[in-house]
Amino acid sequence: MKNLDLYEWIAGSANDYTKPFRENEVLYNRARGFWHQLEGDGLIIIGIFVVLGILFAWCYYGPYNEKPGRHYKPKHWLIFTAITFVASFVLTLAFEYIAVAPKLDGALMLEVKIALGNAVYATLVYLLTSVVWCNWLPTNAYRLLKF
Amino acid sequence: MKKVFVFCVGGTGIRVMKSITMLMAGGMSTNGYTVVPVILDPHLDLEEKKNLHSLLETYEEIYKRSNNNGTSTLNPLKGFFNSEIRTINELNGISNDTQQNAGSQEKFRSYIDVANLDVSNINNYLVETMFSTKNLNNPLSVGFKGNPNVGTVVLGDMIEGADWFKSFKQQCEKEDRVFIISSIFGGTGASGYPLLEKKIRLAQNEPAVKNATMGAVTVLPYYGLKDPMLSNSDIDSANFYTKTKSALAYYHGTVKSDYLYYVGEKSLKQIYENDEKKQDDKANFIELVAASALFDFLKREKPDRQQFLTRAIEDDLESLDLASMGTGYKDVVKSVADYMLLRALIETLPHESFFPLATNRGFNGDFYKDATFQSLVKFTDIYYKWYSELSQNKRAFAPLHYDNLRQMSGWIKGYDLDAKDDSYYLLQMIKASNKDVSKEHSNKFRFFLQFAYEAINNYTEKINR
Repeated sequence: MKNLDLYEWIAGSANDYTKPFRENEVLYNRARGFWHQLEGDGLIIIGIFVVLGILFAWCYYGPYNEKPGRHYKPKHWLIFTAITFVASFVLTLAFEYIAVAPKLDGALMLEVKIALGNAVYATLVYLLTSVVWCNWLPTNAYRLLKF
Repeated sequence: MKKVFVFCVGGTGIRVMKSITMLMAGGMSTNGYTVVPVILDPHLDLEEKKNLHSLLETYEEIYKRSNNNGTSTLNPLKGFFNSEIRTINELNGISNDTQQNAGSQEKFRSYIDVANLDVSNINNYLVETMFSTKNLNNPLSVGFKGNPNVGTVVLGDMIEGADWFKSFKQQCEKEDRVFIISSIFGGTGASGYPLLEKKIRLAQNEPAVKNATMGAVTVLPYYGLKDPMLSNSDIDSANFYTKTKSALAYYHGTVKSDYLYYVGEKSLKQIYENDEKKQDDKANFIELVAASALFDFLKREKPDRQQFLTRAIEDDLESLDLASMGTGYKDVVKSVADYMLLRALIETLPHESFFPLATNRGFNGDFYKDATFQSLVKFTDIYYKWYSELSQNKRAFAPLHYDNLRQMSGWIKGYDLDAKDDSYYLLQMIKASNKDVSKEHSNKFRFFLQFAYEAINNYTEKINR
């Protein structure tokens, strides 16, 4: 399984992306090259959502709830969920843009879709980490997801 | 169990005992002594007396519930309600209130049996010289109306024959102490203190009673009463200083308490309604100072010779804070500040959705509706009224800013607490709970008081430095 297969549900496959360029061999080769480069950075992209999902959950259940201000309320947890989503999206897109510049038609949209997918995955990781934290780890926050 | 028998004589004794109870609730320690209050006031229907009984019962209930694990008794808590109060009846295993027998509907005339004196009997003239017609016609159930000459005659018998005095003599053991609270400018207190002390020192058959370390606080005039002509009262506060001087002259060389504390005002700052039946006087700073004498007494060793003590304030202001009272009052201010913070938490927490300890420790709706927590709420309401009275009386004891839970760093005037709003205290409660991993008990109420105190003390302990 390739790294970018994780994002097929939102960004489509390599075939879907290169198909419009088949008429023009130069563009087709560039499109394939673009995809391969993104694929090559796939582990970093995956790393971004894993790290950010865990990092923001840790931040919420750890240091943020060490501070006063009724941070234990679910409202704050939801704010952190949104932050995780947005931060993952922005960071992934920035990374993609710098790592593989989107010069072809549709390349930027592909990167946006992958960044959106990453934001969803980061949010899921945040959620899973929250479940783990609420059930087994020490925190001052309300254990909203405790079984 | 070391005990201190606190005899509260007359109306001032009752009000000082109320202040003692409040300071104990706020965390002031009695140094391991169980406080056994004995209320000595012949007023049968005095509302203040009934209220004090009710307050003491509520305190006891809170104390017991915070120290009981269902099957065993736990160590006293640190902080709120850390010291025990037990009535003398409980020590004896009696549930009814013997204090109700302290007064009588009998008139003073009948009590001294004037009717049996022959008109020409010389003793008749003596009685007429010493007691006015009003004195003679007063029922004993309304107290001695500022007449120590009446109190002196009646109280001696009243003490000697009382069930509580017998109980006291039975229950007083070696190491136990005695503390007497009275005023010197009225009737009951002025006559009651030397009489009671004498009865205790003459208990030849009970060496533990006779030799008990004894302290007393005598409250000098600190309030006045409205013109007695307006309310047809028998008490005239214009005589308070004269009576005080006479009583002091009598006390000199007569009273033998190991520690004798004198507390009073420079002038009669507050004028109350002259209603001897109600005596609905507001809590006063002087009563608080008198209450602090008990805590001082319990820290001291038995002296080689009699000690006389008093307390001063730093600045002669009408409204006192910690700076104007002086550093000697830190413990009193901390106790009051802490309890008022507890009140803020008690008001906030039942409405605090998603407070982690609701699930972690069971501080949920059922907990807040439970009778034990409701006892705490009841006590706290009385506490709040008491502090409000203190902070508005003359002179005012007003060391706190307590109205705004969003700006709490100035809670204690003159101090900048690190806790800026109530969320700081809530967070510290959670931290205290997380830190406590002991499985010693599962008493939710005890946990509540424990975590609340740790949270509050985390911020207010700086005033003791």
